Amino acid sequence: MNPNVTSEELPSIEDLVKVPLARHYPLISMLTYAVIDLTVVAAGVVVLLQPFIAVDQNTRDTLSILIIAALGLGVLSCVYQWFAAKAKAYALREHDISFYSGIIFRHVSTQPTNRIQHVEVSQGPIERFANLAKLHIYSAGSAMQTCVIPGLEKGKANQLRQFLLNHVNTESYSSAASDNDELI
Amino acid sequence: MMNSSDLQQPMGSWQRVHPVALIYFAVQFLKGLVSQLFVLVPIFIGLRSALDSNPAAIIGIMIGASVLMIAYAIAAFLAFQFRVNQDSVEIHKGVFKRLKLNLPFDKIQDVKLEQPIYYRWHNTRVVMLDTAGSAKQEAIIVALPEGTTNALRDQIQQQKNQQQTSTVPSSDSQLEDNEQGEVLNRRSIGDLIIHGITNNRVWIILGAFSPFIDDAIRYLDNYLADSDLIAMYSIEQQGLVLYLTFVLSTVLLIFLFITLLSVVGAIITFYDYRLVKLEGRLRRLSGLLTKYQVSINISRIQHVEYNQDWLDGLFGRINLVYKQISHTSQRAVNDQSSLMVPSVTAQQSVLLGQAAFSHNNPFEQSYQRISKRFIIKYSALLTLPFTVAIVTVVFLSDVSAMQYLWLFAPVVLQGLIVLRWFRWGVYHDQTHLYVRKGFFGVDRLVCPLCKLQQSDYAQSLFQRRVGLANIKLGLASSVMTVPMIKQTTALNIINRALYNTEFSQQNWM
Repeated sequence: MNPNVTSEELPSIEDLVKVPLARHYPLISMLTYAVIDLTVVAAGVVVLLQPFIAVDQNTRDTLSILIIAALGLGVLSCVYQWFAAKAKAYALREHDISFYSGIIFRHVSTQPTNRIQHVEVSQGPIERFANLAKLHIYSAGSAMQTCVIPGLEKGKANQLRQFLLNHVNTESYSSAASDNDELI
Repeated sequence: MMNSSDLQQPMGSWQRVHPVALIYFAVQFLKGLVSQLFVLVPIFIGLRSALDSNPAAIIGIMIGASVLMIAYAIAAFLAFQFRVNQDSVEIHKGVFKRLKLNLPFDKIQDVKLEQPIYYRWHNTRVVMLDTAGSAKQEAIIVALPEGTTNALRDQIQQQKNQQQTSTVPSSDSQLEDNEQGEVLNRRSIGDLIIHGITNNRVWIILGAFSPFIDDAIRYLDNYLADSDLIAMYSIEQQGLVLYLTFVLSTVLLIFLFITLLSVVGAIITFYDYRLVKLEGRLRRLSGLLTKYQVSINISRIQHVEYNQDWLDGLFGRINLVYKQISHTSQRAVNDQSSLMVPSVTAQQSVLLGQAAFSHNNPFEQSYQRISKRFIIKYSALLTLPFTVAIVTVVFLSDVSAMQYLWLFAPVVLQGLIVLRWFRWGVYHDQTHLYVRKGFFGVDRLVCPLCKLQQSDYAQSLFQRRVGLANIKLGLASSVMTVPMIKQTTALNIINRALYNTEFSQQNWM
């Protein structure tokens, strides 16, 4: 370490080169919310239209208002998800990985590779269908211990995982290294 | 005093603990029984008529319960076996549910020793092997003679040192008794009395007497019902002066009682307090009834806290806390993830803090206060809606004159927000971060920047326009949060922390 590096000379998180997530991630993210919302709306419509159980007029009116509200909220959340997904990105440097998120409140979370305890790649059913994956990065401690990067193409997620693992194994001179061998 | 041969002899072979553990298991059985008492109450109610007609049955039940307790203690004792291998400890235990634990030395974060009062005669101890992982892996060896205990602790420590560094410190001094090492601090009874007054230690007493609290409340209730309290506290019957005297003296008496309890609690926990530095570890020895020995590795200390409540401030005292890796499964009453030195002076606290890692005096730094926009934000988010709600309720509903006092609540809330802003500040140099925060009291937190686990830099669109940002530095012990500081300061701290973490050769544990 060189303790005489001045603040101006320090590598800055402002200079990171952002890498966007998969191109179809905003669409998939929006569709996921649309499917959930439409399921709720469909359930309401089925109750309204079904001929088996009589529903009184008051309940019908309330249910109709709820369905319209759910549709409105669904549209809003889909639009929000589209822009939120667009705002997400990551940046890789030799010794750390950063994740950008947030529309109004913009976050940059940075994880030094020599503090990584464990790396995982996960896929939900919709992500499997869209060939997307999430990268989970774990460090020590009880809070803030995970950094999750969603919307990566599966191949890219595995590539990033391998890159991080290689760096964990070469950089981690702490006693935690013995844990990593088992965990990773 | 024992040496390493205490442990070499039985290494690798299964052993049983000292027979005094029978008392430990019996106590565990009783504790379990007391905690399940509410389940037994309906049974006793059901049997009450039968017991009334045949009092001898009570003796029968008591004998039966005693036999059960003894049988459980013997079974638990026989089921408990452990062995110390070259690099791990294995424990087999459990009467109904068998549990097999294998704990590699490198997973053991701390070795803690306790000596309940009934262990004193045989000089045995409870050994708690604390892991950095889940609570399931925590292991307790319930009764070991002092020599074996020390040898086991030292062997684990020696093994860990071998794995953490390439050099092997194999001095025999490691196997010496607790009295070895440099005593950094002792706490006198006077210090503990101050600690009891300034810090609420009543919970220690309440914890010890928790099984009897219900009975005490019932007794108090009956007593109060018998006394003529209404007459005693009535302005009409006593007159204003006497009434005020009664109220004031009652409040003072309650405070005095609580303070006395708190002082007793502090003395029970911290009696004969010694902080010892030995072979890269800090060891706290204390306790009047149960003797505690908490030991932490200095290199694992993530940050140091200088905590000063407003009462501490009056006495000029500070509670210094060494914080290491936090556990989500910690027992709150006996938090083993930290080590506290109670009620030291500011000068002592700085010297002790520097025993963890070298840093500047946190009381002399020029902290940069967070932006005044913090007050505006929380006034809009908390005080404003709260005021509207209170005013609406008070003026729209039919409330008594006393309930108009609720109108002061938003004023108090706003005062707290301003205090929070006033306290919160940050300072950093090339190697350390200093955070000051609090309400009435002041806490100063210091951490080496190279202990960073993860950082978070956040900025809203509004903050961007005025050049402010929020930062969070995630440590293995906790998260250092500083909101609304100058963007340049925020970036400097994050960039410096990342640089030190990524390019320094220092371990975080």
